[in-house]
Amino acid sequence: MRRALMITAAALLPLAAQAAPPTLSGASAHGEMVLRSMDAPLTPRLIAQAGITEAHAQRLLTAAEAGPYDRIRAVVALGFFDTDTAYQAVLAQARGAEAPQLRIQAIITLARAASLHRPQQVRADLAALASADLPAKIQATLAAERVRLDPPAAADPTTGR
Amino acid sequence: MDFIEQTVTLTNGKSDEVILDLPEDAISVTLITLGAEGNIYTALQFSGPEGQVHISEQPIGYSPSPTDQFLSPWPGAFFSPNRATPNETISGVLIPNNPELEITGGEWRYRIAGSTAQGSPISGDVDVTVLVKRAAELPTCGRLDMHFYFTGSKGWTAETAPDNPEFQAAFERMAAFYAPLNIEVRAASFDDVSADYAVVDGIQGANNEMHQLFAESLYNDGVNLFFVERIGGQFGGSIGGISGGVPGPNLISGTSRSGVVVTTDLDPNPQAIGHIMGHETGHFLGLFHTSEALIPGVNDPIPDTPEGQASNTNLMYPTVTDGEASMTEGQGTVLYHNATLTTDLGDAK
Repeated sequence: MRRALMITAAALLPLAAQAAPPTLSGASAHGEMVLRSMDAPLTPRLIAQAGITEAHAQRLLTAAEAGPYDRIRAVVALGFFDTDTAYQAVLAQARGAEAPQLRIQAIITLARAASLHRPQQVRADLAALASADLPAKIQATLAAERVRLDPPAAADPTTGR
Repeated sequence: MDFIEQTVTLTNGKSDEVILDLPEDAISVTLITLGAEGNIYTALQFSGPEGQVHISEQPIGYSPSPTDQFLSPWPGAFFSPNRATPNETISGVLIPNNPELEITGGEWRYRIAGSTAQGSPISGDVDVTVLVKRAAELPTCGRLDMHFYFTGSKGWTAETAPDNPEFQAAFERMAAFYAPLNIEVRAASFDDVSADYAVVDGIQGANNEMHQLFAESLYNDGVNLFFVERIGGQFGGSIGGISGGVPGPNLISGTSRSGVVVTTDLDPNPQAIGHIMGHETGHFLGLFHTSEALIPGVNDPIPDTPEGQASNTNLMYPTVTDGEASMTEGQGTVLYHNATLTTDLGDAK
């Protein structure tokens, strides 16, 4: 009897999956909830636990129905994947996203997440970005994140230098 | 409303039973544990004179699983008929937060548990504030006063916000979630706080930036709500808003959890901002997510909210939307129990 129930449940599973409404990212319903969550900070561990892949984050970033907040969360998630495609996607947003808040998030993600994987590349790309003509708020974020990456050395108390 | 302050002693992580003699017209109790910075607390037991067991270390029907320890150091309390969640430094629980439970007059007993952030049981005294909401019968309406604080994000200030069309749109969106439940949301005050808080990067650990912001709260009634540009975190992983707790320390200002914080720049659409305002305020008043993002398969204890993704048009679903969203009657019942909601509607508007 127990075996029969298990077989029935297994047979119904694909139907249940079909019945579930599709998600914007293509992740599972739970993965999507984590990715788009209003009040849960994304971390590499949480992303892994929720089964969120780079492809899910890429899809959410470009989904027509995604809102501005969703795109920001997608950029945050992409920062945790150490691949060229994920890095270039974040860098592209830092260079030219139309929404200023998305550009700001991409700069923060490069500095705080992507830099853990490829610190020299991030430094070079942020330096190149700093030479561009940027709106004041984006420039201020960029400057602050570069300082966060490379804090100025403290002055030597004996020499004052 | 009765406001009772008690000192409770924890020994090896748990208190003895504390007796609470409730009047016949008590309709809810909010227990707020105000402990040492960085330690974690929860209500471990809440049981009544007629054998009611609303919160228990070992609730009936609960089978512990090894992963439950990741959820809470006291998973039994979490899976109790009246969910009690642990929180750092200040922990609150509204009873009932499940519309199928009731409070009656008589002798109730509660226990508090506490540990260090690393999980070691602690000993010593903690302050517990008990809010007893009293009414001849459960109200089916209420007024909620909102106290707004501005860091200058989105150009909003205490002076400009009342006449700012975008602020008004956000506020109206928030109020519209509560209006169908006969809860009138009122903008009671407007204050500025330092622009240094416009970007909140520290949200974890003792005396973090967000806790400092919440400590700026001034009002012991209603809900203190702070607007900031963005909330970051360790990896700059942006989030839309945070509540000081579920519930927060209701009717107590000036603590590290006395408010909710809402971002204005992650999605500058006033409809999205209003959604986050309504959602985080719902948490502060005792509503859980309909379906928990951090805990797969865990839904709220309210029977009439849909489960999982089916609840994605509910205000307390974890994602942001500028589209349709609402609350259920069951969620309204939880809100009516909260001591923050007043039924003194005479001077409304």
